[in-house]
Amino acid sequence: MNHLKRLSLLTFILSLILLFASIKGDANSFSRNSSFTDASTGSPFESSSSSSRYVLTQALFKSRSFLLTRDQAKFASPDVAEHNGKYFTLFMPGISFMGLPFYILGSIVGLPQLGTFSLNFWLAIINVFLVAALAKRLGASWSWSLLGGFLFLFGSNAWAYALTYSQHHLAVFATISLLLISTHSLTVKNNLLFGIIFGIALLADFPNPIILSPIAVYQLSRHFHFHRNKINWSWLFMGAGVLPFLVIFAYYNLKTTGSPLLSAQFVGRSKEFNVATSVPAETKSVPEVRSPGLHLPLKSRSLIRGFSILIFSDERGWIYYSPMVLVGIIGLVLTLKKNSSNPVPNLIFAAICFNLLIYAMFGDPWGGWSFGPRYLIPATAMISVFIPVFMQKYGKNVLVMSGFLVACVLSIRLATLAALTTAHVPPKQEAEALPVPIPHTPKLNSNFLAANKSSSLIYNLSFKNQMPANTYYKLVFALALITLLP
Amino acid sequence: MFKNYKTNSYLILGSVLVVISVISFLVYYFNQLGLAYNDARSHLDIGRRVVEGLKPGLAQLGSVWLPLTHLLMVPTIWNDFMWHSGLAGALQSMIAFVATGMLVFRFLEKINVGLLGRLVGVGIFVANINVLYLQSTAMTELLLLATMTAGCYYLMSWYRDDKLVDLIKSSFFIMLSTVIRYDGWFLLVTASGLIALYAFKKKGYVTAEGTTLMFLTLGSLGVALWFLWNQLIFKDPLYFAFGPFSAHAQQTQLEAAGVLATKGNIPLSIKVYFYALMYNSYTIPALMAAVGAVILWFDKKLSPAVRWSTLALLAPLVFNILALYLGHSVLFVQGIAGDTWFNIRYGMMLMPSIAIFAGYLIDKAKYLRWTLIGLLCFVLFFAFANQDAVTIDDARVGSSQKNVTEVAGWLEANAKNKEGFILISAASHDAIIFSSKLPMKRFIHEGTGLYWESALQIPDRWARWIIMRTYDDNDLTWKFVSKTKGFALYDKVGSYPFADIYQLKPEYLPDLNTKPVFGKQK
Repeated sequence: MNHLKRLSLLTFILSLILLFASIKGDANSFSRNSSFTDASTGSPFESSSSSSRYVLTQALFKSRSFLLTRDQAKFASPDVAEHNGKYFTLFMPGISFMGLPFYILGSIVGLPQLGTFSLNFWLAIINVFLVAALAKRLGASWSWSLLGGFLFLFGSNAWAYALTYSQHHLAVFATISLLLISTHSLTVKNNLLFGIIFGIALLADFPNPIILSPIAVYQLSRHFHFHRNKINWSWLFMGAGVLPFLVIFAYYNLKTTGSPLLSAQFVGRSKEFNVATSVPAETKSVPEVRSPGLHLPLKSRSLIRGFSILIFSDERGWIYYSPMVLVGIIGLVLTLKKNSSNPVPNLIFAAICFNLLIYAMFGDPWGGWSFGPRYLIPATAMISVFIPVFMQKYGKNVLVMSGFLVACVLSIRLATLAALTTAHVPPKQEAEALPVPIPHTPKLNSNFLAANKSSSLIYNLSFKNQMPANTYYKLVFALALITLLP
Repeated sequence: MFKNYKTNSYLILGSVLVVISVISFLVYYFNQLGLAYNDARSHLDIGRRVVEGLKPGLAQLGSVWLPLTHLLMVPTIWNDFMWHSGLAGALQSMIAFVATGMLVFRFLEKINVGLLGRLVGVGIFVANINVLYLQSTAMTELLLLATMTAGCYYLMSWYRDDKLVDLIKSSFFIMLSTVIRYDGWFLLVTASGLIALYAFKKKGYVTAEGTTLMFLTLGSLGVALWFLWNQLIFKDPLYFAFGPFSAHAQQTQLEAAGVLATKGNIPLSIKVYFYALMYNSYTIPALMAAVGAVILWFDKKLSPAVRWSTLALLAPLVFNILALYLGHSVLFVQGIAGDTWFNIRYGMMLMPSIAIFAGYLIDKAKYLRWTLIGLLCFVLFFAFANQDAVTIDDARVGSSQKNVTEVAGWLEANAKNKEGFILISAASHDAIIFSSKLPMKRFIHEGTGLYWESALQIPDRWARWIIMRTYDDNDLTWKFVSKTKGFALYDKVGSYPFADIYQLKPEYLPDLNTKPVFGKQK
C-alpha cells in the first residue's frame, strides 16, 4: 500500500472514529419507543428538521403513506403542514425517502433511529473524499486535498449536522458531485448521472436547484457550439435523469396537498400544535409595510441583515464559526484572479454566491435554532476545496502556516463542541426573549459541557461514569487535531 | 458608419428609457402613489403660486427649497391638470431620468467599458423601483442626479481630454445642481478641490488658480444668486439657512424632541446612510460598485487623471454622512434609527455612481461577468416581484407621507362652491391646499402679503374658514389668530389628524371680504 492510499485509509478511519464518537443518543436510544418522545436539547430529535423528516420515513415504512398520523404530526411540529385534515412534513421528502432503507436496516436490529440517521453519517464521509477529489482536480496534492476534505467536515458545523437527519450533507454531495461531473467529458452516462443527482438534490431541498443552477447552466452550455453549428444531443439525458424525480415530486404533492403543483412549503405551517416557534424576533418587533408585490419568501431588503448574520455575526457568522473559511476565500480569490479558463473556480464562486444570496434574502437566515450557518454547509464544502489549493502554494511561508493552524484549531474546537453537545442554539433575539435567557453563541454549548452533559451516545453509554464530559470533549478534540500534524 | 452606429445606439437607448419613464409615470399616476410624498405636493404648490394666487410672482419661490425645480414648473403648472396630476413637476424628473440613463452609458463608454458593461450599468440605474418611482413624482432627486452626473461626466471628460469646453460644461451643470439641492453645493466644493489639486500638480500654481477660478465663476453663480435672492426678498442672505422655515429650524425641533440621533455621532451617521444606500440600491449593485470602484482606481489602463476624476462620484456619499453628523439632515431607517421611515430616498443619491462603478466591474470581470449578471438578475427579480421600494414605503406610511384626504375632502365638499377665503399656513399645510383641489387664489397664506397680515389681525373680515392645528404655536395661523377677538366668531366644524377646521358663524358673513381687494402688491 503506497503512502497516499495509507493516508486515505487513515482519513477514512479517523473520520469514522470521530463521527462514531459523536453519534447522538443515550441509553434510551436502544429502547424502541423512547426516542420518539424525547426532543430535549442534545437528543437526536432536538430539532424538528430531523424529527419532521424522520416521521415521514417512519410513515412510509409503517403505514406505506406520505401522510402523518396526528401523533407523528405533533412530534414533527412546528415543521408540519396541514391540508384538508391531512398532516404531512413541511420539508421536501428527499431525505426521508433516501433514509428508508437505513430505517429498515435499523429496525431489523431494533435501532430504527440510529439506522435512519446513519444516512448522513455515510454521506458525510463520502463528502470528505468528494471535496478532496475536487481539490485534487484543481491542482492540489492528494495529501493536502484530504486535509481540505477533513477540515470541511470536522472544522465546521458540517460535523454537527452529520449527526442529524437533515438535508445539508445530501446538498453537499449533490453540489460537489455535479462539479466533478462537469469536469468530465460529455457522455450519455455522465449526463444521466448529472440529471439524477440534480433530481435528488431537488427532492432534498427547494433552494438546491437555485444553488446548483450555475453548474447546470454550464453543463448544458457545453453541449451547444453555435459558432460551429453543432449540438451534442446527449444533453437530453440530463433531462431524462431529472424527470423521474419531478414525477415523484408531483406524485408526492398530489398525495399530500391534492395538487401536483402545490407543495407543502406553500401550504405553510400548521398552527394546530403551536408552541414556541423559531420565527425570528426581529420580524416581530419591526412591522413590515404591506406593499402591493407578490410577497415571495426571498426579499432583497433582507440582504444586508442576512449578510451580516450569515457572514460575521456571533449568531451564525460563517467566519465566526469556521475561521478556516478565510483561507479558502483567499484561495478562491487568488484562483479567480488568474482568470484561468478552468470553469470550476467560477462555478464554485457562482454557487457560493447563490447559496449565500438565497439565505441572506430569506426571512430566517438563522435557520431557526441551530449551530452556526447551517444553510451555508454546501458553501463551506465548496470553499474548503480552495484551502488545499492555497496551502499547497503558500504553505511553506511560516506566517501563512501559523495563521492557517490557528484558524484550523479554532474551527475544529467549535465544531467538536457542537458535535458533542447540541446544534439547537437560538437566534440572539429569541434567546434574550426567553423567560430564562440563554446564550445565543457557542457559550450555550460550553454551558452544556460544564453541566457535565454530552449528546454523545458513546460517552453516555461507556464513559459517563469514567470521566467528565469536558474530558471526553478534550479527547475527541485532540483526536480531531491529529490531522494537522505533519 | 461608426458615427451612425453610435447615434443609433443612443437613439435606441433614449427611446427605451422614454418608454420606461412614461410607463412608470402612468403606473404611479393610476395607482395614486405619484403624489404620496408630502413634499411633492408642496413643490407643486410653490410652482403654482408663482403663476396663480392672491399675490402671484417670482417671490413665491420662497426660501425653503432651492428654486430651479419650481422655476421649471412655471411653463406648465398654470394648467390645472398639470398641477393636480403632478405632471408639471414629474415631467422634469422624467426627462432627468432619461438623461441620467444616457449619461451613465456615455460615462462608461468614455472610460472604455464595452457594450455589455454599459448596458448593465444603465440597467442597474433603471431597474430600480426607487428610481422609477421618484422619476414619476414632482420631487427634486432625479433632476439633481441628472445635473450632478452631467457635471461629473464633463469633469471626467476634461481630465481625460484636457478640453476647456468640458470644464465649462461641467461647471454649468454643477451650477444647475446647486440651485436644486444643497448636495450640489458639496459637489461644487469637491469638484473645485479636485480641479485645483490636479491643475496644481500638472501645471503649477498659476494655472491651477486660473482654472479653478474659471470653474468657480460659473459653478458658483447659482449659489451667489441664491444669497442675493435671500437678501432681496427676505433682507437676510442667510435666511434660507437660519430662517423660520429652514431645514435648520426643522432639525432644531427634531433635536429638541430627541430624534436627531445622528448629530455628533459619526458611526451612527455612517450606519444610517449605509442602510439607506443598501435599501435603495438592493445591496448587490452597491457591493458590486464598491468592488468596481476599487478596480477602477487601481486600473493602470486608465490614466491617473481619469481615475482621480471619478472621486467626484462619491461626493453624495460624503455629503450625506456629513450632513447627518452635523445635524443638517435627518434620515430615519426603520429598525436602525427611528421607528419609521423618513427621507430614506437620500440613499438613492449614489445610484448613478453605483451604476457606473458596477458597469465597470462587469466589463473587467471577464469570466465572472455572467455570474455577476446572474446574481444581479436574481436580486432584481425578487425586488420587482415583491415591489421592494423603501421610497414608496416612506411615502405611504413613513414620516414623508401626510394623508390629508379628510380635511381636504371637507374643503372640497363645503368650500368649493361658496364664496370666501380660507386662512391657512402654507408652511404647515401645503398638502391640504393641494389636495383640496381649490384654486390657489382661494387661500390666504404666508405669501399673500397684506391679505395674510390683515387676516391674522382681523380674521373675521377676511377668512370664512380657518385651517390650523389647535393649540400648536408652530402653526403660524394658530399662533396669531387664537389671540384675536375675531377668533371667537368661529365655530369648529371639523377636527382631523393634521388640522382642525373653523368656520365663521353665519351672522358675521355680511361683513366678510370675499373678493381680492388689494390689487397688485409689490
